[in-house]
Amino acid sequence: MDCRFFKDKMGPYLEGELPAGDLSAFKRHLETCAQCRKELEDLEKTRSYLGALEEVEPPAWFEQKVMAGVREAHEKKSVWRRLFYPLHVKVPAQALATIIVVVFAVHVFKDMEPQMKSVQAPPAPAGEPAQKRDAAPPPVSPEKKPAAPAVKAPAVPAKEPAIVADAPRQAVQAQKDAVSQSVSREYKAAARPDLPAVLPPLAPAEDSLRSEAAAPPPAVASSPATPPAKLKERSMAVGKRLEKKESEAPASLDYAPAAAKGKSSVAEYARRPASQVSLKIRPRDPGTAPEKIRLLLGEFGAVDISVSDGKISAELPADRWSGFATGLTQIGEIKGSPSLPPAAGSVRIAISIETDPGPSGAP
Amino acid sequence: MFILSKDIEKGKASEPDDDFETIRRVLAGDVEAFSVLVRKYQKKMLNTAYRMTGDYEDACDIVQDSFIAAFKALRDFRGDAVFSTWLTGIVMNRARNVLKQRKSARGSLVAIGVKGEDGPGLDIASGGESAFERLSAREVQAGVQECIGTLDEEFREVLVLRDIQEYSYSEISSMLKLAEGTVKSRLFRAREALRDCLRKKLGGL
Repeated sequence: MDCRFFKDKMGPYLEGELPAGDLSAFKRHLETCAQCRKELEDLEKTRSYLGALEEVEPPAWFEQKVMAGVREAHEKKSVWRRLFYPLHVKVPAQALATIIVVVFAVHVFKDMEPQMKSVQAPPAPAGEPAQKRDAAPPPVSPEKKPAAPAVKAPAVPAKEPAIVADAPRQAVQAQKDAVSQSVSREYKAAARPDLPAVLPPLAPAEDSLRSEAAAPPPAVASSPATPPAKLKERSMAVGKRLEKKESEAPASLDYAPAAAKGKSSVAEYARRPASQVSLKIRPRDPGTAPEKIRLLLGEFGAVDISVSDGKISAELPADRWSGFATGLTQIGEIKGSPSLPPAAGSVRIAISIETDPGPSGAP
Repeated sequence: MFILSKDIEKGKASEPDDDFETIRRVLAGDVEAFSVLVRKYQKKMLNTAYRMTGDYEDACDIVQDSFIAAFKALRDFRGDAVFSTWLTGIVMNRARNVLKQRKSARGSLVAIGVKGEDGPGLDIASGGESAFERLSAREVQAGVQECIGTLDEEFREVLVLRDIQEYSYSEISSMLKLAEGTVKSRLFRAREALRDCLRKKLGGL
């Protein structure tokens, strides 16, 4: 038999995997073939050398080194997890928070817009009255009778009564001086304390005016510390007195005994405040003005409020008039000189809203 | 007899069971439990890698990397194989990669005219048959290792796994993802090649 044939049987033979038929033939060949015996012998030796190879020992630090690497890998994994796992939770949370803030900011901004407009608006109306005061002569001057010199100065603030509060300080000072002068002059000329009679029943105003009435004129003139609010009331009163014709005398004016006698037209105004007050307003924001006025009326206890086509009418408690008038000036510029309501009872108010921004100063 | 075989089975089965328990602990977050597996298998893995590469330091690197790779991929270890088989497969892969790198490096060395083989082998063989008798066990072992190094990887790995590490054919076929028949035929050819090499290197067996 060919040695080459048996050469291929050596491996399975050594593994004990040679089929029985091949095994006997292989064994018989080995008995006769020294070369094949040597081959098999060397093959067995080779395997025994391999099996006899000494094992190498791992270095002493090996386990620690491996574990250090393992821990490092674990930490890296943790870092990755820390970096990315929270993203799944936090990113939507942060995005949500951002969206909420943005939505809130937009909402607030939109809410504020009309308010901001009205806040920005004042400069124009504030400038206008001052111009008007210089430009437009008081339309009521012909009606001035005994108090002509006294009325001249107060007539100026009378045009824009409540605006005094918003007017520049110099204007306030000028008005203050003018009023106190006029008051003292009025006292001198007419010797009637009819001025207090037309004042709205505000306690501080009454007190100061009462003291003014009692005090000698120089004392009045030398009290420049009159607060603007009081001035406003007073100038309003003076202005109204000039326009009023249909007014009735209020019963509650205990400090106006002389006025009750009613000898002059001034006294007439004082005695007979209007039961109906008509006024024109040029609102800063015509769009919202009717609603604002309606709300203001409601706020001051007005009833029977009707709003139609730029005209608003309502029944307002007379003692709330001054507050309402002040509030009205926040909405717009009051045109002309509104007549004076009665100090008690209720007053019918008719407000017409001017929508066209006509040339300033035009009556 | 029945009891004995049962005990043997039990004993055989307990090792993978222990490994599974350790792996379960590691996966549950007990990183230090992995050291049990390192301690248990480091020597076997190191020897496998050493016989594959013939270089102790390379072997250490291979085994260390393999343990870390196994740790990272521990969740992928399904347990359809025992841990040691799975780990050996990782070691063999890494060893193969090292050998490939070395081969390409040697290729470049040959290209510039450096010859790295045969040097010591010729010296040992120079004395003929009688020279082999004089060889110390250490020298024989060095010769065997050298000859292993001359084998192609595909022969080398079956030889190392079967004749040195004494894994079963089924284990080897699982580690190398080869059919058992292929493992066997490669093994026989590897032994013959090694025998021929040793004869040449050691001047006879």
